[in-house]
Amino acid sequence: MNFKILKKDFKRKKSTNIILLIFVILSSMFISSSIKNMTVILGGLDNFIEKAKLADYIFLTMREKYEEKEDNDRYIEEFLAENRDTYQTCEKDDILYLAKKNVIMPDGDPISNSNTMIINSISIKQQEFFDENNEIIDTLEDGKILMPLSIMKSENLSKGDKIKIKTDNGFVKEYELQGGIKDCFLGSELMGTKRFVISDKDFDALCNKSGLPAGYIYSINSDDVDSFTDAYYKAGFAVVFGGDKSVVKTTYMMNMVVAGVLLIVSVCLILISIAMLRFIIKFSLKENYHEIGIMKAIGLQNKSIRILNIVKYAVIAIIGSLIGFCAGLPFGNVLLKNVTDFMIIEDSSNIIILFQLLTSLVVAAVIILFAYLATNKVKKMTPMDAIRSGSDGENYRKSKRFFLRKSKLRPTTYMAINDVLKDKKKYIALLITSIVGIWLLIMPINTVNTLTSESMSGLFGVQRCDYFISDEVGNTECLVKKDRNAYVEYLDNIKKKLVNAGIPVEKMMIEVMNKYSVSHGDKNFKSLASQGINTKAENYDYCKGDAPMLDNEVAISTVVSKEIDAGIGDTINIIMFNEKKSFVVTGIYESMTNMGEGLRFNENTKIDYSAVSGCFSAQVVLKEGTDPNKVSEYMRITEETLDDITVQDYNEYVTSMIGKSVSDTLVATKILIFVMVLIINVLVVTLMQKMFFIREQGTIGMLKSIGFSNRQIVIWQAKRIALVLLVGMIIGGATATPFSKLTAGQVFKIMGVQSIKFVIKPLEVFVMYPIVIFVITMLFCMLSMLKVRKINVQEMNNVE
Amino acid sequence: MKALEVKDLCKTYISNGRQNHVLKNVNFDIEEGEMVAIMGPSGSGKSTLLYSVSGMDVPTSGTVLLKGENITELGEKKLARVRLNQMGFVFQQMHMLRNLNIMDNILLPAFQSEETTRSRTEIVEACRTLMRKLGIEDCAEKDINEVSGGQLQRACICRSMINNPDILFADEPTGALNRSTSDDVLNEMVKINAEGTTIMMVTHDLKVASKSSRILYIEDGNIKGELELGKFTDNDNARERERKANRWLEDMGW
Repeated sequence: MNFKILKKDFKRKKSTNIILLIFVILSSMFISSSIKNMTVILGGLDNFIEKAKLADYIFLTMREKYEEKEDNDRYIEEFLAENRDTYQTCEKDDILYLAKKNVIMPDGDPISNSNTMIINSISIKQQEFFDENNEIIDTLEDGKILMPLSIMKSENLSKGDKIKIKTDNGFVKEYELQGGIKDCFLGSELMGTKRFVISDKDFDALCNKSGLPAGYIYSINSDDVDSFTDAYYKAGFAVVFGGDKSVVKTTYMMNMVVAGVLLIVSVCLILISIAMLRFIIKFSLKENYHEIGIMKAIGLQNKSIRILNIVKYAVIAIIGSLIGFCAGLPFGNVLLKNVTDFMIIEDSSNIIILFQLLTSLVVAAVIILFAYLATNKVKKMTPMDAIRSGSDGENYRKSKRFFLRKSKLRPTTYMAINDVLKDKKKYIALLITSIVGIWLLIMPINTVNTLTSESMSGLFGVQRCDYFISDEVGNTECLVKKDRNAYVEYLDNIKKKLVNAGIPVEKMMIEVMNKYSVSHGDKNFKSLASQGINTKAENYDYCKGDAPMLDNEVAISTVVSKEIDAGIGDTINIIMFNEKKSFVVTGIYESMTNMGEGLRFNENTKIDYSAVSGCFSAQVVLKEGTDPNKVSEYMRITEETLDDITVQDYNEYVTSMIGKSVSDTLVATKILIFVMVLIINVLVVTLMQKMFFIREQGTIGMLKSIGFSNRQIVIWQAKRIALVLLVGMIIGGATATPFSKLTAGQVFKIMGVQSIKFVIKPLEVFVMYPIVIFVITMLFCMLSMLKVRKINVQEMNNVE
Repeated sequence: MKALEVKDLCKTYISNGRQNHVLKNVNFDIEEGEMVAIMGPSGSGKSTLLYSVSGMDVPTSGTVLLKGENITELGEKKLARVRLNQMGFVFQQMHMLRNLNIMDNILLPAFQSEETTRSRTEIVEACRTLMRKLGIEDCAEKDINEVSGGQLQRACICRSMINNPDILFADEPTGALNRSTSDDVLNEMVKINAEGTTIMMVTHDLKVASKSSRILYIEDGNIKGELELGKFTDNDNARERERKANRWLEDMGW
């Protein structure tokens, strides 16, 4: 009997049931795949680090010549000897540094990657390397080369392609590309440095003949990493980069951005599904009020009546969850694609699939539980209430102050507003959908706009300029000189060349990085420090305090402030020129470079350049009054005038800082969410309109009888939907920023910014996108109202 | 000018592939100021006739002239305008919008009309007058579930009259009411007719029909006969009219 009732109900309300099914499928698919992805990545990270045998602490050094050890190297040897009790093993491997011009692609052009590149032999003790199939690469033939998979893809390279390494002293060697590697330490996109690998013999030849700058990778294993790092931070030697396993893990966190965003979308989808389910159940109960009264009158128990109503939703929930689970399997794999290039992921083990299935079934259980709770009202209905009145048992509320006769509104507008005010609960589902939809829409838009806004330049440690010049050769030449004047001369030379080429350059600027040990009380840390050349410290942004103006003043980043527990007015010690120097903290700033660590000195402060580790791209500031439309032409001329450089506008610069795949992912996520919000809005509005229709056929018949045309009836119904949508959008818009801070704010925290101020483009965020959503939703709403034409006056027998 | 002229009106329904001819070449006229009752056995096509001549259903063929205008040729929009401004309807079930109070329900068609020359204040005043006439002025601020069936039906009559229609259609207006309430409602309709409103009413209540000026008997989709009773006045003997109507209906086969 129940099966018959169920079958009839499914046939009668096909579209309602299908829409609910779609919601359940989407919720299940998104939540199961995003939870799986986050679990797989998090678990996969630990697994990857373990399989790669990554050391507890790793740091890189640099020197000008391979064959000549520098003082810095000796300081490190002394440090390691003195602190032998803080670690168990220390491996030291040789590396060479490559500039863009040193790596030539099959087409004869240098590699387009402008980040730091290193090269080492396959037998490096620092870690294991893995191929595309996640197998350890033990050996490499002479004449072969391995490179990061991400670079292979970005350069459109395939196995067998010929890559040349060419150096200034005439050394040239061609290698055949064996394939891509998964590099645990340097593989993530947030880790700027990229690594190439060749055979032991080839590497020896490269070391002895190429003349490339060299360095060491030190891999420290320790049972008490804190003791080692404590001593390490106090030591005054220079490193290019250093970090423990947690730093490595953090660099992979950005790859979880997509999974994280989709988890948020899933949770929001479930909220909307529950709101829709509540709406549908309440509506169905009202429709069947008379029937339920009869059932009670003939002796059916409340439990039986509730089960009758719940069975349908249970069937939909279980089927929807299972379909969602099946769809989530390939969907999750697509999402993981941007991660599998960088890490070893075990995404298809039975346990993981079982976990995904369990998550989907939890979605079903939540929906069934909610359906059970929502049918509670059955207990309160008495048989006589329903039989005598034959109505829906509505409690009529007395009209308060909003009367047609007192309003100046058109009847359709009045009726629309009155309907919503009188029956607010009926529209809650739509209101929630509208609010949550706007939150979901605005969050990625705000994130992308913030990242690409020029006002964020301070977070990237640079000041506003017209364009950037990335010059690996020039930077390396300055780096090895370890002298501030090298950078000053470098900028002067560039400026002269550009001016001679007809570009109205006002000035050239650059941020130079050094790595210093910094301490406050018993807290120690090693941080990158920046000093601008041709800039002023006061022109940077500080979230607290002021710029350092004197020689003994410094500004610190929020991360450093937290690490050494120092604030404005505190005196901190920085080791430079082989001694501890005291600096007063005058300001605190947010930074999105180097995971948020940073110290900033006044441009005139004399600091120790023996610890120089690199610089950002040079910045070009054109003369005031320069036609903005000509900037791209000047960029082109710059590229033609200077050799082996990359010219970038602000967006390109930011993309290179945060990683192209992350940047692409954020933009793709924005589009995905926009489409999702649109689909959800359309489904919800269509479903609601269908259900209103079922109930209001009699009212529509009556309105037609008193002279309302089809158009006027459609307008009345459209107005109330539009009203709720608009109110939801306004509330959503007003509360979107806190939501963005709660969600997307975490993305910025990973990048080092503790408290981000979102850049909001009001026209785009509050007008353009919402209008598009509103218009398309209303279009579908009006289409679903076309049935009004078919209702005739006889339907008045069905008036609720 | 006649209020309503119906010529060769046919209405056929198709159900499960079979044709059902409900109205077969119906012809009749209604003069201005007349009150005509349509009677007949169940399934004879009374309500179908009412909906077809009032533009609420589309006849299969034939013409319906409302004050000389052929409404069967009008599109949906124009027909809605005719229903709003020239017709009034009273149904057996008292249908009103539950989210509006009694007065707002009555005012709705008036505020909706774009052809009215009255201001909103004048319309509200006219509404109060109507409600006073029908004895439901106290119900103005009440919700529809706070009034009795009789009061609600009188409110429906007010709503149907608010735009001063040329003709009032009623489908079993007292069908859902008890005897005494039916009498009250019927008296109100007689008063409205006495003031000049043309009424066409479907009923199976002899008492109701006997107060109309003419009874049309419909059977098997066609007008079988008509009885001229003349306009009902207070001086008339209601029982005598009833007896006359009863005899005639018996002859018709009622």
